[in-house]
Amino acid sequence: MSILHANSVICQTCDQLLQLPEIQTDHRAFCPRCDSLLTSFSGDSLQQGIAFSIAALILLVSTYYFPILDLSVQGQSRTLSLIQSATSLLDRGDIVLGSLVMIFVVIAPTITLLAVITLFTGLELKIKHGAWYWLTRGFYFLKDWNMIEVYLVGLFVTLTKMNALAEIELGLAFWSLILFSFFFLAAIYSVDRHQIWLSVKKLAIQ
Amino acid sequence: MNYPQGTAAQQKLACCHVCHTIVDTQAHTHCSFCRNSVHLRRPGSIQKSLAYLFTSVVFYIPANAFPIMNTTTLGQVESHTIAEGVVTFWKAGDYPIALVIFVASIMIPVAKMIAISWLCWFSTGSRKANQRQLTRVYRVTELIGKWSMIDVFVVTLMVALVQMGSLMSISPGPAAITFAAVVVFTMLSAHALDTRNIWDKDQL
Repeated sequence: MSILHANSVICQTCDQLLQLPEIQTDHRAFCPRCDSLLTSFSGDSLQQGIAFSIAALILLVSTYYFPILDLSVQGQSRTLSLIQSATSLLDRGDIVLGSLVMIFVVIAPTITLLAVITLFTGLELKIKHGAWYWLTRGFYFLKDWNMIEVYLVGLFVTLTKMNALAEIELGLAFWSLILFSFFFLAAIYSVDRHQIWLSVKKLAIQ
Repeated sequence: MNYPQGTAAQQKLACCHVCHTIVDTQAHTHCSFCRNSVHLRRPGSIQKSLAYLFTSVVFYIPANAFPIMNTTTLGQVESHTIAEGVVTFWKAGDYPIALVIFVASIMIPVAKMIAISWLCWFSTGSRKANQRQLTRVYRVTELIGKWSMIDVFVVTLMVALVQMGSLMSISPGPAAITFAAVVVFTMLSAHALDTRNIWDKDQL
């Protein structure tokens, strides 16, 4: 019967009971049985996360506010913003489809980003608050349901298709969406899950 | 149930699925930090996964049988299903787009369904399994899950863009929402699986 140590961990993939050694900066620990990542340690990953997520937030505002493209065909012209593409479905009566698009492309990224900024800043400043538990839990739940980078690829496909039919002018939101996708993904993957929970357990009063 | 040597379950230790706190299940049933109930293995994970998978398969039938997009040009309505769309693009010479739609809307969902069935099959019974291979399959399945939504977003954008009355307008077909349901349910299905069940089996 092995004794539980302070630095005992259980591999999430294969349930192996392990003892984490002292991990140096920029080193990663892998499970000896199944080779999956246990944790990685980086001294300034929280700060990196904060930097990326603030940049992503600025880009998010510009992505939602400005138009993605201007379409002109036979004299008729139309401007489209990202939110309009989702609300146009709702206006037509396609409530379920429109709501899904709104959730995956507008609501989830916004809430995830706000949660991430609040959480990372709070952990970095070592503020004690019970909310970190809920923010972290909510963040890891929402993480899989962000599809804004999939929307971007769908946008590329649509543009290629529409280019033959009409004249298209790319708006500011198009470029800001590309940049946003990079910064958003960088922010989300900047910190290690295990390290986050270690910090939260120290700081969240239950 | 006998768990392999070295696993936490063998010593009745469980990991809280939310906060990764180690809990002695012989002493507690809930996590000491977050009060969630803690289990050695996720209960009913295979049943849940198969239930979601079955739902997505059921939705996949109308997603391919019904049209995903209707184009009305000067009064003439032209509908096409996902498969017809791929063929149209291919014939028009748009090979990259045809490939993207084919991979995202046909290959990925079917591959996911097969992968999840395969993982569920090997999670049960006393079948020997190549655990590393299966874990890799699981990882890939989780990663590529949401990319099938490309086609739904293409339809969304086309509908929003092309609204010029009777000159040319586009509307979504019934396949759009059912295909979105397929993606959502395969994602839920992959998420419900517990890979530790695979690692409990004898090494192949």
